[in-house]
Amino acid sequence: MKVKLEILNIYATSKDKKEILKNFSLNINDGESHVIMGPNGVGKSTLSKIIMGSNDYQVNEGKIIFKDHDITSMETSDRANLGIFLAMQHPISIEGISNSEFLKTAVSSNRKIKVGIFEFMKEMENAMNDLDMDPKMMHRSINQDFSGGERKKNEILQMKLLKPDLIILDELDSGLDIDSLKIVCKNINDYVKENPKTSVLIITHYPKILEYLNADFVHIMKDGKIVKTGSKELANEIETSGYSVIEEEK
Amino acid sequence: MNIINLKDNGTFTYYKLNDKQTINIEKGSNIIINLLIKDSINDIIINIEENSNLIINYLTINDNTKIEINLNKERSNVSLYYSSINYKESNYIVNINHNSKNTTSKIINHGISVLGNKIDFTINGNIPLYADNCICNQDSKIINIKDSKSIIKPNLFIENYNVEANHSAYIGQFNKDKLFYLESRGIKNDQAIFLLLKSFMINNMSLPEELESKFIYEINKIREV
Repeated sequence: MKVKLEILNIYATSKDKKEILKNFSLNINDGESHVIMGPNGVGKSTLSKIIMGSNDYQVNEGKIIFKDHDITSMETSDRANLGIFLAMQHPISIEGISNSEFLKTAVSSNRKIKVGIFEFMKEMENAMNDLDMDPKMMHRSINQDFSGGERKKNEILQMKLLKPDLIILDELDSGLDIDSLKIVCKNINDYVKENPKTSVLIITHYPKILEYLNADFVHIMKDGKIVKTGSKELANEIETSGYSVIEEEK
Repeated sequence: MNIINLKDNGTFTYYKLNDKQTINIEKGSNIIINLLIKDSINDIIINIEENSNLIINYLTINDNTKIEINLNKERSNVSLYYSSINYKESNYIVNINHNSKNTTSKIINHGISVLGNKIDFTINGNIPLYADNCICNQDSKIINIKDSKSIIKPNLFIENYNVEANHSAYIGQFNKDKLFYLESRGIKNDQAIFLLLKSFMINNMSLPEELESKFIYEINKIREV
């Protein structure tokens, strides 16, 4: 199986020089689903932003390789167009840019062709239908006045249209009611089934979401690095006993 | 001095005004004025009479304008949407005079400083003691593409206690989280900035297609810089 994402001994700091990742390493192969768990403040969400190339953090040592490309210093948009998609924990609202205009621009950039309006609208309508979204939302400003659940569905709508090779789900279940969570997870599972080489990185506090999404490996993160790796059973152990009982692997 | 008298209902689009221009909105009118004006110095006086509504969509490039709006009689209302792209130093002054009770003003000002040039907004809302039940709202924002020493002076001179009045002001750059969000979907930085600029400049206006296209062309030019 081919390695899709290699994070090699990363050290990263925030703008105020606070160390976030300390010798962090992770390999994700084609078609694998990995889960990162850990208590608040260990750097889980930051990891997702660093993979996506946020300017709020600086990688001081180490490398990130994606599909054989060194993306450590690559622009965020280039990483996205190479096939990385980050479903954010708190998707921001942007007044004045409609969902359809935004997505058409993104899809055109991603596919490197000018996408026809009719073809695009049809594709968007189908994807919104799968997600049980009101079609009127395509004409509304990005996430403006969307509920928490609508925002998360909007993230997965973008995923479906941008067709990534690596999906990063940052706290997908936050702000989602159980019915919406099931719909969102079904759409992710269907996408992965249709595109079996797609890899998934799930970042979560709670193992509840793993009832709906596949997990091949579960990693526990502490102090900016992975301290233990196991199967889905490890997540259940955390659910029962909490993070304090986790002993670091030497 | 040139005088334009407007009455009844209608939409009027101008690409040039006289240096000194008076616009009178007659009693009982509903008027929309669209302006796209480049490289000019204008001194505009607008008089609005009883039971009249005026919407102004004012698009400018390199603007130096002074506007005086007189809400002369009861139920005279104005909404001014001002969007300005500036490559040079720019001064923009608005005086809103609520000369009667039951009058409303909504003043939204958006400016872009492209080259680090200074933009100076002075927005004065005046409500005298005798003008009950007035609404006077103003919101001003300046986005700096490069660092600049732009200034916004939002002033409310209110002598009457029975009024609603608000002002807000922001000077800075585009929100970095918004840029990151757009870029994380594969949109290049310059295209992401264009989308944000377009929404900042024309989102709150309902413009004729031709005018909108002309102004979007001007917004697009900012990317070349």
